[in-house]
Amino acid sequence: MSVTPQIIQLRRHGRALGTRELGAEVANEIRGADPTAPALILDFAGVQVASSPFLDEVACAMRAAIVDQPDRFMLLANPNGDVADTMELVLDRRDISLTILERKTLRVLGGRRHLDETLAAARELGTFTAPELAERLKLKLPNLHQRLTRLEAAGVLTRSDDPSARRGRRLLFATPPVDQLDAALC
Amino acid sequence: MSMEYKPPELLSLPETLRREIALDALLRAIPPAAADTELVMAAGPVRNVDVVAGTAIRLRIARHLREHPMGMVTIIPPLKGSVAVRFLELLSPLPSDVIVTAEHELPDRPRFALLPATPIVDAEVARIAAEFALEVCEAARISEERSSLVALAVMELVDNALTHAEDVDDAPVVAATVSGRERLIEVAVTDLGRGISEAESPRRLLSAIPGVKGGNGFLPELLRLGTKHGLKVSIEILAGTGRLRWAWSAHTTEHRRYVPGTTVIVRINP
Repeated sequence: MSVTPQIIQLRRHGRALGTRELGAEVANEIRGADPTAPALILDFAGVQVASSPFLDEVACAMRAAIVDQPDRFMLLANPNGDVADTMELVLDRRDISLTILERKTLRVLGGRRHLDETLAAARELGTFTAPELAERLKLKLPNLHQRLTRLEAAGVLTRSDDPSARRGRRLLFATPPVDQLDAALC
Repeated sequence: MSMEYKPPELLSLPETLRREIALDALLRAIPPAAADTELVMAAGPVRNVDVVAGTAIRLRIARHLREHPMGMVTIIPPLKGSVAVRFLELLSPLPSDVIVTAEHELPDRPRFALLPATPIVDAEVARIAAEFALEVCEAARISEERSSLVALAVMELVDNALTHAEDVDDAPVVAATVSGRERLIEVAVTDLGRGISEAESPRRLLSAIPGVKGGNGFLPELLRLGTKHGLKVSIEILAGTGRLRWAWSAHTTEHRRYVPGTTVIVRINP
């Protein structure tokens, strides 16, 4: 299945992104994004500097959008090292996580290291059930569920009902089609 | 009908116009005067200016033109040519109500003022100022790491000033300079917010700034980014009778002579 993301290019606001007001403007763009798009990407390519008040507004809007629409991927893409560092500081202050897509890799920002390991294993499976991933990571299900919840909150994991479940309800988790999203960014 | 002579308000600037001396000389309280009073800023003896001189002069001009809507400002630039060029570069462009008594040719590319003293009236101007600083740093062949830090410092300091000095009459002013063989960069923002400067103990408030004793804040973030890029970054805050000097984890506060408002200076050494 082909996934065409909606991309918000931040470079058009300039190379230096600052002030809470501009952050609020971008936050409005995030809130107004097409809810039917399977993925929303905030592309920092070409942005040299971003201030913490700006990133704080953006991070809060991304977090709210993830909560409102948990069935789609929400990612940051291509921040340079300094922007990623400042974003991490902002996320730590808020105790939230977001995910960066960069050269076909995914990195959880504002989360613990084990989230990246969990994400890497999840990406190998693509679409999976919790027991499948638990087995791969040799983890107990309750421990895994905590990590899955954090990854969902970071916008990098979606969940849906498994239509092939014979009895009761079974959840299917999915990671983003990174190659397609990366191609869309180029 | 005879015209009544109104003597101008004469402001004689000292030889060294830097830091607290500049803030005190330019922003101390003045007695009220008629609406059409002229301010004459006599900078002839000035031989030494820094980034704070730029923010303080610009604030004084703004205050005079606001308090004297029919008045004007005349600047007598420093007598020493090289100082006059620095002085005017730091203030250029000046508002139309300001007259400079002697002409000096300014360099095509900024040599001293990376960002001339600029009143930040709103967030849009703040963003444009940061973008401008980035471009000028590149034109001045300042490394990308230092350029980014300059733009970040401009945005963070200005955003902080806009947030904390909402109820003041004159907008905060930002400026950035580069000087010396080692090309020391200084970014300064001065605002006339009274929250810290008029507090019972400005020193105590400065020692409680987020990040001074661990934790997060945009000031420690600037220090951290500097360290990451191998740059020596330090911060100085002058507010009322308090002064904070901060270089990475080492910070000190002290009781000093009073200055109005709050001035934050970020120094970026190679």
